[in-house]
Amino acid sequence: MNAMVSHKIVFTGTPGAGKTTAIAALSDKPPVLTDVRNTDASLGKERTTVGLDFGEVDLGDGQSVRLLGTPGQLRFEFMWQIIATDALGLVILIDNSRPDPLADLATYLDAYEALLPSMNCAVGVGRTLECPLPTLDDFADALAARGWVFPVLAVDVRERDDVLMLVDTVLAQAETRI
Amino acid sequence: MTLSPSDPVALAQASPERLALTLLTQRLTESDAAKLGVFLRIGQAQLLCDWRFVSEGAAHVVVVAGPEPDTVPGLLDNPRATLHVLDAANDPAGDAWTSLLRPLQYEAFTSALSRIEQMVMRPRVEAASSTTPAHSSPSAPAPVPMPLRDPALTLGAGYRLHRWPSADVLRGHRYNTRLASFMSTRHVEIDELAQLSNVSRSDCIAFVGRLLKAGLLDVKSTPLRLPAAAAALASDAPRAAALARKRPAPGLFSKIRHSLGMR
Repeated sequence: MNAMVSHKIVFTGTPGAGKTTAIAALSDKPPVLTDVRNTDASLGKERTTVGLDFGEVDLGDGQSVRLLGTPGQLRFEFMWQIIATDALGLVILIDNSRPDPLADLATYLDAYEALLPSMNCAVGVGRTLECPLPTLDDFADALAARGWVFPVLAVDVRERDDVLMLVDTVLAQAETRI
Repeated sequence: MTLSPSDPVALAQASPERLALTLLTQRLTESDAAKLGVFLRIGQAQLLCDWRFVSEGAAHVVVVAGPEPDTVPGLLDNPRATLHVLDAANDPAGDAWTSLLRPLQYEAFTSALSRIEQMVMRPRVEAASSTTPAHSSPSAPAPVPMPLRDPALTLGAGYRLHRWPSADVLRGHRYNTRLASFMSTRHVEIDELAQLSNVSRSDCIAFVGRLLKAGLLDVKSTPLRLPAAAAALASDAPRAAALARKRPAPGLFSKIRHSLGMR
């Protein structure tokens, strides 16, 4: 019997950035969600993830890619690194309509700092049409200032192609590390 | 058309044919020389003259590391221009455009050459002046192309992003974002980029040229590289074994792309 081989791609980022939606867009089967009714009025949404979201893409021949979504709120920071350890890639989703998206990015870069040197990582910035500032260049500059060159793309997580593009950039990085 | 660099009048009157102008490098590191070679190769199309590097003798332009060019025995006249490769943003020569700051930037280099071209090709170029370019040798030797002008050696240059490109730079080919991603983790050569991406070599060259023009790439001239696994094995067998255990199975990425319906 062949052992099941699974890889994982982790979606992290601010509450409301669309991690759950992104996973649902890619998963072969209905994702397992751990949403509960939101009691934090500042998040501005009815439900929020408190555990981790889980989706899966079956590659056949006993291989699969697990899509994991972290809870976004800072109080769950202790879980973030645990979930992302040994991941094939990390997608950081930022909601540009929040008060300080660049600070949000910094929060996640700090949280994953130990993993980033060997991590394939991409940054997806949502709601850029309604909130064009900061620009994608601002995010790229913020990353470069910390010595990171990660893809920074505008993303609408409801659009599967947008999410695929983010994953594609993560895979491309992984390929060059082989 | 190759003209003696000591004859600016002839140079000026020779248009509309493309003029041949020469660059002499002094004390440049191998890496800086390699970068300028690549910049020149890529920028040639947008320049008005045919530029080439020479290793000695007469030249229209000297590119020197530091504030002062070397003294050449027998040198009577100054070159048309001297470009200084500097570490800091101070320009001892006083002309900012003659300073090329490290890390060397494509735009600054080609802009400087364009400016020199304008000086050289101006109809009433300083014909009467005594500022004839050239180093000493009375009979200018035939220019010797710098090795990096050889396309095969250009292939040896690796390119790595030092900042993610703007949306404008990525616009165009639908695979540009993927190409940029390949160059975000390490230096990648053109042929390797084409192989990894399955994008044509000419499209890869065009995109790399655009990134160079935007000043987003670090260029490294590398000797022939052992495949990563072989190099690891040669240097450190236990580490290579650990890497092999961690390495994804062959074809994993194409399987993932296929399963997700990516093209």
